[in-house]
Amino acid sequence: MAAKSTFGSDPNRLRRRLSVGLETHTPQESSGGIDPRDILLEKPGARIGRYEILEVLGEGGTGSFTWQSNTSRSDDVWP
Amino acid sequence: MKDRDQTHMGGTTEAFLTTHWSLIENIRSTQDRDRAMIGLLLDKYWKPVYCYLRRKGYDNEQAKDLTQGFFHEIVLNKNLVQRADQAKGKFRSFVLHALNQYVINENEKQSAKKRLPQARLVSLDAIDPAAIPQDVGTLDPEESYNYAWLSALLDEVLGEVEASCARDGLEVHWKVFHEKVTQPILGDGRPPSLAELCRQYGIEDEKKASNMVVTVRRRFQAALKEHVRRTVLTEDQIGDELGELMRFFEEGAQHSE
Repeated sequence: MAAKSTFGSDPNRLRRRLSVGLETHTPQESSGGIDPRDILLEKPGARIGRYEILEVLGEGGTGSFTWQSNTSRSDDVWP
Repeated sequence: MKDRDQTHMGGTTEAFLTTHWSLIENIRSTQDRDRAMIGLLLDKYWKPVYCYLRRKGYDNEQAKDLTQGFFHEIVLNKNLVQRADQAKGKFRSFVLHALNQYVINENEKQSAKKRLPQARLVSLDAIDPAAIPQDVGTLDPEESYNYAWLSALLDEVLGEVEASCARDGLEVHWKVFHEKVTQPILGDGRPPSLAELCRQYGIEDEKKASNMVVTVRRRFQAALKEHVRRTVLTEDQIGDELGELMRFFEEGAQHSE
């Protein structure tokens, strides 16, 4: 399963792939909980733990995302 | 020149390829100007050069001829590298600057074809994009050069990471990372959830799948850093170059997806 060439892709997508390779936001391997990458990749309507993403509010200069969410369950514990 | 060593990523790379600066020096110092080495240089950089030339207004055949001529010049013109401001140290910037100068000179002489060697250094038959991608066609010449440079860099690095995963028995790690992270960036579909990936690949739990992603991402980061290191002169320029690559398209919000 080779990675599709980025040549010909939208420049913004190129930048997003590059951001994955930058070290600034490398999460640690975890012994539990939710992987922050899931937050970056989920889209409105998706659920992360007890949170449901309503809307992606913006992207920071270093590739970090801000999102608006609500909680749909009260018994889950945010890591 | 056939010696190969193991990088810390585990990938193989030509021993002489300490940096791309030294690649040129090695080509120049080779008495018979080994065509394979010239081909290696061309193979790495033809796309940015070609795209730049196309966006400068040259048609496919003109751009191919000028690409050949430029690499001929960059390899054989000793003064070119010596004049380069190596204090800046970025091979990408050097090639772009040299290309600019080359185009200006060729335009002045209006004899680009006459300056080409009788026998072409290497065939460009395998790299014959009569049309450049639409998205590249919306960029200015320098942007298209940087775009193609970054594209080639990412493709090479990700290819190396995939190969290193395969060699180390981490094929599933790669698949999970690729399907979860890199593939969705280029596609329109929603990335699979970790639970879905666990089911698909028989992974114990989401925590383990998440750690697999982290493992491959670290390989990606290390490989990217290593590849950029080969194009700069000092270690502290790596972060600077990566930051510059990130900023290329920040103003490109108009390139909507």
